[in-house]
Amino acid sequence: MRLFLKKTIFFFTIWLAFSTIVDFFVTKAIRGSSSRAIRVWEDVLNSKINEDIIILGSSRACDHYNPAVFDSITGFTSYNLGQHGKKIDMDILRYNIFKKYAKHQPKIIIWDVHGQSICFSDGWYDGIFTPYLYKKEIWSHLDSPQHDFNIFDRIIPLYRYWKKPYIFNYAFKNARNDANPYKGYVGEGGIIDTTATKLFEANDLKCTIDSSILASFKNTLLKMRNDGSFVVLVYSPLYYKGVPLLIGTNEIVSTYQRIANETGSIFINYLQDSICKNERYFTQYVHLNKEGANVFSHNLAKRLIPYINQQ
Amino acid sequence: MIFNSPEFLLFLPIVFLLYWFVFKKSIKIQNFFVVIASYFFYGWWDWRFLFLIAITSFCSWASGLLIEKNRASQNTKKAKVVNICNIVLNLLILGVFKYYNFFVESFFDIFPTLSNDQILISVILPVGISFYTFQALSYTIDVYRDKIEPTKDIIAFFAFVSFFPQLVAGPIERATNLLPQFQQKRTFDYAAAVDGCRQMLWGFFKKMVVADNCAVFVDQVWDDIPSFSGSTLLVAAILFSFQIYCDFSGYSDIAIGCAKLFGIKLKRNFNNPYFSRDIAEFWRRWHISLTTWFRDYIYIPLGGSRTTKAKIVRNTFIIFLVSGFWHGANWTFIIWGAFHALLFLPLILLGKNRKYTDNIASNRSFPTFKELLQILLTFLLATFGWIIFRSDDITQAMQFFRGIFNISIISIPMISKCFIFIAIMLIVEWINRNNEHEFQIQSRYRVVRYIIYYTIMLSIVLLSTQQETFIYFQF
Repeated sequence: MRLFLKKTIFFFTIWLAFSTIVDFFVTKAIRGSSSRAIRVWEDVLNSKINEDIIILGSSRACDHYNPAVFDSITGFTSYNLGQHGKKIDMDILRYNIFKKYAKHQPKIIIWDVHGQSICFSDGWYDGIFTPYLYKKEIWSHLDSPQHDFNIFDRIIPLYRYWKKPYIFNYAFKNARNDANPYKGYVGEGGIIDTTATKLFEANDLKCTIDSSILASFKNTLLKMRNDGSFVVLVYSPLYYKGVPLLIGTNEIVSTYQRIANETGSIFINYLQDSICKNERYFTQYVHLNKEGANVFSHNLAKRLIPYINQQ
Repeated sequence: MIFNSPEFLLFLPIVFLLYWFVFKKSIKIQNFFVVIASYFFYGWWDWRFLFLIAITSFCSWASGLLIEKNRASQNTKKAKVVNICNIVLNLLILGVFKYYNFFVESFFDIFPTLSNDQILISVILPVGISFYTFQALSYTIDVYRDKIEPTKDIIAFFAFVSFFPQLVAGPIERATNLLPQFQQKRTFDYAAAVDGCRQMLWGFFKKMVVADNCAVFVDQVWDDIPSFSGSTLLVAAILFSFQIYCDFSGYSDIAIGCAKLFGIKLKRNFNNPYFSRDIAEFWRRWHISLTTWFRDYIYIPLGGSRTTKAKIVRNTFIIFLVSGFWHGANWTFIIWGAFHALLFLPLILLGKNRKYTDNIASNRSFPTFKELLQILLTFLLATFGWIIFRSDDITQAMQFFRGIFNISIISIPMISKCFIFIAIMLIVEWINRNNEHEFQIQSRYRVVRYIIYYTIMLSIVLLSTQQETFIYFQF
C-alpha cells in the first residue's frame, strides 16, 4: 500500500509539473489566435482600446458595426467590443472588465440591444474568459455560482480546459472565418436564405423581461453617464419577415425607450428602417452581412453626428 | 454521481483512503462503509430512489434465507413460492418505474377509443434499476437452485447489491462471484491496483474522447436526418456503433478498474466485440454479464439449444426480444432484439453458433483477408441494428434506412475527426486483444509507460466534450 501511495504521489507530481507546462503553452496558443473573439480580449487586457466610441452588444453587435465606417464619418475613433452571448448581463460583465483596463473613458457608447437582451438569462457564454482566469481582475468578476467556473478552474493546471471545447472553437475552429479583425470587426459574408424553414431558435421568439437584469442595465447606464459617456441604445436591423414572429416586440421597444429617457441616453430603433426590407443586406434573419453592416454603420454614424458635435 | 465528474475525482481517493486505512480492521465495518459510500454515490443523483435499492436488497436477502429455511424443512413448494414472490416483486418495481407508461400507451394504441391520458403518469426512471434488480434476482434464483448458500450477513449482501463502481451500469455481477469477496478479508494487491488504474484510464479515454466526440456528430445527424446524404448517414451510423461501444465498455472498464482498487474482482463485460467474425461471436463478447444472465436464467431453463428445432427458434426469439425489452420501454429495442434473433437463428440452426470461440488471430499479428471480411460484415450487421436502437421510434429508423439506401449513398460524406480517435482505440485494443483487458501496457520502461499515460490523460483533458451521462444509465 505504501508503495502504491508513493508511486501515485510521484505520478501526480510529475503530472502537475507537466500539466503546468502544457497549460502555459495551450494558453499562449489560444491567446495568440487570430480569431476575433480572442483578439478583442487581448486588446482589452493589454489596454489597447482607448477609442472615443465603443460598441457593446451581442453577436449582432459584432457583425453590424464597422468601426472603419464610423471613424471616417464621425472623425472619432471607434472599436467594436461586441461578443457572443445575447443577454445584457453578459454585456455588462464585459464592459466592467473593459473599464478596469481602459486608460480613458469612451465619449460615446453604442449599445446594441434586441428582443432577448433583457430577458431571463439562461447562460453566460463566459467561456471566452477561460484563458484569463489567473488574472485577479477577471476572476473577481467570475467568482460566483452563476458563472461556468469554480475555484479548481483557477488553481489546477489545465482543469479549466476540461470539457470546455468552446474555447478551442473560439480560438482555432472559428478563426478560419473570423480572423484578423480591424478594431474588433470582421463581418459576415453570404446572403440570407429566405426559403429556410427554421428562422429562429424556438426560445428566441419569446421573451420574459427579467426585472433584475433590467435593474442592472439601468444602473450601468447611469454609471456610464456619470463617468462621462453618452450612451446610444440601438435596436439594429432585423430582416423584416422575421419581425412579426417575435413576441412582445412592442413592449420591449417601449421598455428601451423608457429606460433611455430615465437614464439620459437615446434609443434608436431600426426595426422599421428600409434596410430591414433588403434581403441583400442580410446573412440570416438576425444578422447583417458585410454590405448591410456598412450601409447600417454609415446611416447610424450620420445620425450620431449632432450628438458627437455636442461632446 | 458519474465517473467523469469532478465530484468523483474527489470521492474516489477519499473513499479509497478511508476504506484501507480507517475501516480496514473489521470486514463488517469495511462492508458497512462500502454500503454508506455506495448509497452516497447513488444518492448524489437522487436520494429518494435509495429506498428502492434498499427494498430490492432486503427482499432478496430475506427471500434467500426463507428459501433455505423452507428447503431445510423439506418444504420445496414453499421455497418455490418465496422465490417466485421475490421475482414478481422485483419485476413489479422494475415494471412500474420502467415500463408502466409503455404498456399503457401500447394498450391505447391498440384500443384508441379507450384512450385516457390521465392514466399516464410521469415516472422518473431510477438510474441503473435494471442492473441492480437483475443482480439481486440472480442471488435468490441461485439460492433456490442450490448454487450458493444464502448469507445471513445483511451488510455484506447490501454491499454486494450496491457496490458503487458497478451499481448503475454493471457489470451485472453474480452472487457466486461477488458475494464471497465481501465475506472474506480483502488484502491490498499492488499489481491489481495499478492495473485497475490503467484500466480506468482507458475507460475514461474511451468514454470522454471517443464516445463523447462521436456523440456530437451522431446527435447532429439524428436530429435532422433529411438534411444529410446517404453516405453521411452511414458515417453517422458507424460512429454511433463506436459511440455506444466506447460509452458502455468505457464505463465497464472504469467500474472494473475502480473495483480492483478496493480488492474486488469484477467479471469482464466486453471482449472486443467489434473483432467478431459472426454475430454469435459478437454476442459472446458484447455486454457479457447481461448475455450470460439471460442464457443462465431464461434460455437454458427453456431448453436452450438442446431441444427441437421449433423450440430453438422460439427460445432464440424469446431471449433476444427480452434482451431488447430490457433496454427500455420502446418498440425500437424490441425490433432491435428481433433483428439480432434473425441474424442469430441461421447460425444456431446450422450448429455454427460456436464456431468461433477463440480470439481472432491469437497467434498472429494480423487477421487473414477472410477474417477481415468477416469482421467487416459482422460490424456492418451490428451497425444496422444500432440504427434501430438509436432511433426514437420505428418511423425515424425507417427514415434513416431510406436516407442511406438511395442514390446519395454515392457521394462524399461529412468526415469527423472522431475516426482518428477510433483508429487509435482500435489499434490499442487489437494489440491487447489476448489480454485480460485492452490497456495492459507491457513495456518494461517506466518512462515509456508514463509517456503513454500522460498522453492519454492530456487527450482526456483537451479533447473531451461537454457530454456527461452514459448511454446505459437510462437502462
